[in-house]
Amino acid sequence: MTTDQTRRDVLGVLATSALAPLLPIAGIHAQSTEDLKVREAAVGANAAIGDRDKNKELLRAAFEAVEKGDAALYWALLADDVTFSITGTTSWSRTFVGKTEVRDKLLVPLRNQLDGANRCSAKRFIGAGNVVVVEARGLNRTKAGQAYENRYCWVFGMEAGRVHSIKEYADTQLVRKVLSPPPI
Amino acid sequence: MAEAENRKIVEQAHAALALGQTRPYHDMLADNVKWTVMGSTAWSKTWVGRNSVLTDLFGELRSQFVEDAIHITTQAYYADGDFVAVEGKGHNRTKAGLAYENEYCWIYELSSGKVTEVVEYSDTDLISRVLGSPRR
Repeated sequence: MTTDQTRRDVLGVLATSALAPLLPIAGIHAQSTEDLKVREAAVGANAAIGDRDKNKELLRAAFEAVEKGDAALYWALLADDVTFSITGTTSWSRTFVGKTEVRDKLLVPLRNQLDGANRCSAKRFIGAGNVVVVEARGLNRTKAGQAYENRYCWVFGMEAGRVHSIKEYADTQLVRKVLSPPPI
Repeated sequence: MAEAENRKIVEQAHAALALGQTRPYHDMLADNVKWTVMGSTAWSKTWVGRNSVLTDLFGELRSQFVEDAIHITTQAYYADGDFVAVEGKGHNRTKAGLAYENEYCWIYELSSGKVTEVVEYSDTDLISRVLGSPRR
C-alpha cells in the first residue's frame, strides 16, 4: 500500500457517516484531522521501514493523541471488522465484534462512566510480524470521583495498517472494584 | 541477531515448562531478575532476584495447587529487540478444589541471553478470588 493510499484510507474512514456520530463522543477535535494527516504522512513516507515499524509508529501516534484525550487516529486505525476481547470474567469481559459494537457496547459506555475523555499513557510497543503489543497505564477518574488508573497490555493484530483484533489484559480486579457494569 | 536468539530462549524455556521441565525456564532468569505481577492483589508486587522469584513466587504458587507444579501452555511469542512478549494460559487446580486457569501476557526483557525483567499481566480478579495469599 502506498503512502497516499494509506492516508486516503484513514481519512476516508474518518469521514464516513457511520463513524461521524462517534467523533464528538470520543473527544475528537476538529484539528485532529490535520494532526492525523501529518502523522500518517510522516509514517507512510518513510519507505525504508518495514510493516512492523509502520504498525508500531501508527499505534504510537494514535496513543500519543489518546493520552491527550483525542481518539481520532485510534479510531481511524480500527478496521470495520475489528474484534476486541477483554480477558477475565468481569461484566466488561467479552469479545466485542465489529467497530460499531466496540463503539456502542464498550467505548461509549466506558466513556460515560469517566470524568472526561478516556486517556492512557502507553510506554512500550513490541512489534513482531503483524502484531504490536502495547503496555499502558490509564489516566482516568470516574464520574463518581474514583481514580481509574488501570494497567493494560493490548495485543493488536494488524493488517495493511489497520487493527483487526485487540486482546486486552488488564487489572480486572480494578475493573470490578471501580467500574459499574455496562448497560446491556 | 539478539532478537531471534531471545525468542528462541524464551520459546524453548516455555516449551520445556509445558512438558513439566522447569530447568530451562529457571536457567533463563538472570540472578538479579525483577518479576512484577501487575495489579493490587496479594500477589501483585515486584520480586527481586532469581532466588526470590523461584522461592517466594513460584514456590508459594505451587504450594497452593493440588499438584506441586505450575501448568502453563503458550499460544504466541512476539520478539522485538530486547523484548519477548508471550501469551499463555494456566491449567491448574487449587488445593481447595477450584480451577485456576488464568490468562497471561508476559513481557520478558533480556540482556546477554538472560531475562532481566518480567512484567506479568493476568486476570487479577481471578487471582483474588481463587488464590490464597502468599506466606511472604
